[in-house]
Amino acid sequence: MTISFLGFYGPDGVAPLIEAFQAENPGIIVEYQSVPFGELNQVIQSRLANGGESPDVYIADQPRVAALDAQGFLHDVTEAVGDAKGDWVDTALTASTVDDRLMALPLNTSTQILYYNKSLLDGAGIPYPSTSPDDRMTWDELIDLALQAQEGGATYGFQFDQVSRYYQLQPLMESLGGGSGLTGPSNLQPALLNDGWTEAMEFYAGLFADGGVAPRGMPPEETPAAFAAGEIAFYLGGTHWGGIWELFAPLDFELGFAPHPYFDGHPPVTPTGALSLGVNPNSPNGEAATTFAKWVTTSPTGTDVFLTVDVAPPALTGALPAFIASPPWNTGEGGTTAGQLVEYELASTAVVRPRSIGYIQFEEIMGRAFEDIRNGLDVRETLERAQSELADSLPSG
Amino acid sequence: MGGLGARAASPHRRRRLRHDGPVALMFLAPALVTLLLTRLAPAVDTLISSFRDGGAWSLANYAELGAATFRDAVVVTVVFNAIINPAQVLVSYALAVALAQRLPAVGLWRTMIFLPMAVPPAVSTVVWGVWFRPGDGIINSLLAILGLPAQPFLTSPGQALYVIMVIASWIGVGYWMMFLVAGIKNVPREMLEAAAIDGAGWWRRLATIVTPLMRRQLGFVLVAATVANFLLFVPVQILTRGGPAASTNLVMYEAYKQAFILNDPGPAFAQITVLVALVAVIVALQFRLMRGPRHPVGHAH
Repeated sequence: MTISFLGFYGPDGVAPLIEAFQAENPGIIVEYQSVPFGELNQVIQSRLANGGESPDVYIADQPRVAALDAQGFLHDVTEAVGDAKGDWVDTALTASTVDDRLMALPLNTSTQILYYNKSLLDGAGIPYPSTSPDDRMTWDELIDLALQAQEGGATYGFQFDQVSRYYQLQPLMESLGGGSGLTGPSNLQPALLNDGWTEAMEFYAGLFADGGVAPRGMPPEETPAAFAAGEIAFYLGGTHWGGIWELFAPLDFELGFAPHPYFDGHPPVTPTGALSLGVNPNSPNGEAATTFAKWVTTSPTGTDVFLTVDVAPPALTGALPAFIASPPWNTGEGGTTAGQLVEYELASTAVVRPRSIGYIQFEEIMGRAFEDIRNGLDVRETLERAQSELADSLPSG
Repeated sequence: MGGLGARAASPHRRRRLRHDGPVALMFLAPALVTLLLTRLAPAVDTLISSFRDGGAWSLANYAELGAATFRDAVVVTVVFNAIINPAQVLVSYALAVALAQRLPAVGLWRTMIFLPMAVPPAVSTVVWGVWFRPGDGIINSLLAILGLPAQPFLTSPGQALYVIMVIASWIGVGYWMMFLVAGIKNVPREMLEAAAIDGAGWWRRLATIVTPLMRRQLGFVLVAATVANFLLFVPVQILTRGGPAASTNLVMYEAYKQAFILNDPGPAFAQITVLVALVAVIVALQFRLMRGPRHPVGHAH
């Protein structure tokens, strides 16, 4: 029996995973199909619409699980997984669950680390910030250091990895009590017009204003390269970058790790969420497809080999210790390793993106609003415009 | 190029054309079939789909066009075209007139102005995007050398649309210029010499002889530029995604966003249908304006 598996990783990277699966599950052949990351959602839409039977298994972006389920694109795997679901990190499990039914199998998770370029800090005479969550910097403290780094020769003091994207900025609003931006029983009502959102967005705008610490006009795709090129002192970025710089694209400066900053007097909040595996409900090989998805996400071999495919932290709690003990996560300042920091953030400060069948529209409209605010447009007016645009575009609950 | 019209009109030639008809059709068939499959069929499909909703005939997709986002996109598209099309015709005509003179290394200049056409639009857009970066872009560095203040360019709702016009024109102007240079070369030399003997200066000859004779070429360039610019997509998709504050949200991008980002193709079909209808009306008006007097100078002799 042959099942098809759709994802965005290169076929060479996935080959060992499939070999290992086929060795443990004789009789099931997995045929991998790869599309670029940016096109994955489009391909899923066009192939599963109207009851398409292929692919049997596909990579599902966690915040889109609710929308995919609403379209009937996901097979309910609650029974098939059973008690094994207790083994996943809570946030990843929550993000794959709709109305108490498990609709996708969590592959991995994510958090963000404040990376810093030790050479640039040395140049500005800044001591290395501690990696411990107990010594978490406030945003004000970070901005002071970032300005100092700019005076000491850094092109930019600070930059966000996914600048102007919802994943990156949700923690700002959540920490200031502004909420996720969606409310109502099914998260289909926009809620951007409150003090938390305004304060968070005024702060965001200030980072990029004249005399600020971060550049306008640099799209999110360019930020990791800018940090790697030594242009940025402090970089608030995803955990996968640490792995990529360690394994595939070594940096020519030493990397430091500090916790995600927080607003003084408010709780620390970090972004999270990554990928799950979805099983096509119209698949004629549903059982084999579920077996494969379960093997990748819950078996020791599957999760172990998958770590060579994607360098993000695994969603399986039992696989996390091996991850945080691997380089570069086994180093840090002040007696705490970056791995311990990752573990702490995933357990204590991570906030999941809102689960809503309107998430796709929400993310798109917010992305443009954030970019407008970054470019200096009036915060209140921009939020009001986004609020009314959302009211027009979100599906009615 | 001018001689072709005269030769095609001879009866001998016409007879041969009729005889060669089936052979010509055979050679043309691959192109015609491709045209049918890749251009006409999707267009008809779009038109039909725009009137479908949930498996039934419906005007629901058109009802959604009342949303402020789409109305604003139409305004941006019309403003964009009202400026860029006349500007492109004027600039490419000015370049064509300049390069039709006897200048040293004229071939080199022409090649350089035409060259942007040979660069993939995505590549030149990315390069321009880096040049226009507010912080460390080359353009602001040049302004600084001239003692002028740095500009926000693509990050400003007041400037972004004009920056897109500059980028689109950098690509387009050289291409349109080539048509106009060919046209100017075809202006009968005797006419210009006769006018010069009668005492008409350079400007006078340009205004009263060359330009009227160029009516058809200028008309073609205007129509072709209008169509190209109404359907402009790449710079917006790569550089601004319709922003800041929807200031560069052309209808083409709005339809793309609707279909491929929001996964709601229905209204996108309606938007594209409206866009094509709008272009058709404007092009029809342009043809009418271009027709001008019944016997233009060029046909009188």
